[in-house]
Amino acid sequence: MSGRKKTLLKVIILGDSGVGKTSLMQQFVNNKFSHQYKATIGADFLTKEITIDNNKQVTLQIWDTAGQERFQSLGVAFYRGADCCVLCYDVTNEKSLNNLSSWKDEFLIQSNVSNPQDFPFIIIGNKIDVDDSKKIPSLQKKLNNITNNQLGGLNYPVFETSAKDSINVELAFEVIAKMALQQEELNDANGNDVSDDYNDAINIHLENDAGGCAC
Amino acid sequence: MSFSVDWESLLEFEESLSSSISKTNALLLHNLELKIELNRSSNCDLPANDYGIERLENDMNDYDYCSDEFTTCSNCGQSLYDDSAYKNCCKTFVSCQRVISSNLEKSFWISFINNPSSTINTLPNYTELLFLRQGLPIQLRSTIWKKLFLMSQGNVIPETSRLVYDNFQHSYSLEISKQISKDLSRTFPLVNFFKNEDTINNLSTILNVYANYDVELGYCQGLLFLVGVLYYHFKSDSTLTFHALVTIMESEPELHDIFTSSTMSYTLNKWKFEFSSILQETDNELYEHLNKFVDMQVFLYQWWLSFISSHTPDLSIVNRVMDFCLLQGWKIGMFKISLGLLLMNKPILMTLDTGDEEVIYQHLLNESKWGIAVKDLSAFFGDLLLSWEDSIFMELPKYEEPLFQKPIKSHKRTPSAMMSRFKNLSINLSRNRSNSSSSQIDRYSSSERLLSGFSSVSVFSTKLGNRNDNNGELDSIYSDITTNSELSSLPPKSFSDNLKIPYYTKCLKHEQLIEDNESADINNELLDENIRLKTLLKRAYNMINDNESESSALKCEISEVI
Repeated sequence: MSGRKKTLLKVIILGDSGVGKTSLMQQFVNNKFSHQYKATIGADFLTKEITIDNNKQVTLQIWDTAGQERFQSLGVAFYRGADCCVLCYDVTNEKSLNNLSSWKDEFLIQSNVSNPQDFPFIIIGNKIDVDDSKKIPSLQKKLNNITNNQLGGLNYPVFETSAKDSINVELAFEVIAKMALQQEELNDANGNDVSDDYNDAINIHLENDAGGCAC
Repeated sequence: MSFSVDWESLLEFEESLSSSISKTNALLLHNLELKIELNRSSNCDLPANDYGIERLENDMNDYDYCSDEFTTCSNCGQSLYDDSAYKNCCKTFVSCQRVISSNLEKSFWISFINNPSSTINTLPNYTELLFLRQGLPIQLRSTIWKKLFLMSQGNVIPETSRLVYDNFQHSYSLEISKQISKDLSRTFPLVNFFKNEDTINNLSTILNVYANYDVELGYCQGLLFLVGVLYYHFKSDSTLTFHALVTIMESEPELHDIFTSSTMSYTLNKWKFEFSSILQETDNELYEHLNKFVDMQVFLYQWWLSFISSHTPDLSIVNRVMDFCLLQGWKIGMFKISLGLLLMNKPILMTLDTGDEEVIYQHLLNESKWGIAVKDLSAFFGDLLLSWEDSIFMELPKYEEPLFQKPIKSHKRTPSAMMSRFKNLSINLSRNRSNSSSSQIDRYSSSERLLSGFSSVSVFSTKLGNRNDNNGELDSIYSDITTNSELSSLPPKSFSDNLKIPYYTKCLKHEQLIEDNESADINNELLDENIRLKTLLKRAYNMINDNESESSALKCEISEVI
């Protein structure tokens, strides 16, 4: 309305099928939870305007993706221009935890972001409302192990949420928005010039591949 | 009451239609040909003549709308499931549906149900008019769909499908089973039928068996949109649903490929390319406009991977989508519906411009894309979708694979996957028996003897070493079957009789044999390494897609290496 360019932040939610990506997005954007969401085919997205950091208005454009592994290779169009990437797992499903790094790698390969080393990722463990007995045993240790060994020891923020009971969802997305905004400003400062980063991107990829996946 | 099919009037009417429409019906007839080829059966080719006027009228009058969740009132869009909530328009709708007033139409349906292929062949224009323009009578949809899958088999599901379905119900892949059970409740979450325990169990079995049977595809999210609707209309007949799924996938290899890990990316790119050029040819203004700022992949892939059924305002549309594709073929059917959706939404799309991408994506990804079509499905599926020349869809431009975008695994699927399965089974059998490390050529020739006269390269071919991850699974499946005397004791000849390969497989035969003999000599390890390197380069190459001058130099350099 003021004619000022509105800040649009693009957020991608990734993670295995059934970890609750759609539910997280719906809970954050529409404040509701349902058992009747459809399986996401391809991709879907919602937007929400929020205020962060001293009345700064931003629009979050949240992309929900298909979780089945074979869809990873189709991501290109959705990942491009992302400002933050949310890696989701299900606290009752160890495999979804172990796959975090492969989602991250695939994202970096396809999104072609300018700063793969310090691109903002955030980790969300969803479904903490379920019974403790069903949760992954010694989760914290395993999670540390993964961040240290597979996610390059980088201190990505970690949130444990329940999309069902609306626990920590708001909080997580606030952090997501802040991280995305930083990334956006960084891109603006660089004039969105990504042409110098090919070599970096290739190197990163080769390193990852040579290291192999521990799981 | 005596009633006989009035052939003379039918033909006369067909004549008048064809002179006024002047269409070739090329797609319809091509699709029919495919179906007939796949369904050809040596033991029964008898048209069933037992469907007469009485059964037709019973079917029409005794229909229970309250058990049909897929039918909605054409006026208010409300489901007819709950008759206590009927509004006036719903009542009118139901009473209009109860009768077929024209004797000509009665003649057509009786003729169609008794002998679908020759009816389509003789009366293509009338078929399209009734199927697509007017819409199938709700009461007959189940019967008609069933007929389309059992073309010239009487009412019998082919023995091969039955055997596979009955015998592959074990040794499911754990990962696939888990994925299937996650999706069962989230495909049509609001439809009660799909909450029923039997439905869930049977759909799960159908998809698990299919994954066993078609290891290459396995299971892919999105399939349930098709399988669920088929199962619903086939009144919970699991074997028929399985047969229909197999038939659809085998009649259209490219449809199969968009759901298969190794080929989906390539095939979807190809479809997008072809679709773009069709759009360009049909409506250049819209094409230029969208091309400026929209990536059509965002919505097209969702549409195609969910059979255009995942976000619809009501389920009648799903019925119409399926009617359309069953008759026109799936790839082309979905192309036409997609094109129709874009053209119908053109007024909205043209008002949006750079910066509004998300509005367009939101609109096209969700139910709202059906907009005005909802009110008049006949205009959409009848007039709009039939207004284009078939030739636009049949003479597609050749897709030039972008460098390095080729599927990593060589893609050797033939239309007759069923053959390949059994062939592979025989390979496994012979390997188990001899327990020797016979060379690849030997194995092929031994299977050649078993299935004399037919050749198609096994999709399970291990020669590229890419299937290692599946081998354990496969072996367990097939070793179980080895002990199944019902299967292994059948003389091979009867299989080949049942499994007529579509005509174009024959053309592939020679070419593929040569290829196989050559590759058998190549060291597997070297191939593996080569492929891995190519994969790496391909991925690196993908990362530099966006840039102009620098990247093209780099691309050239990489392409030289490969």
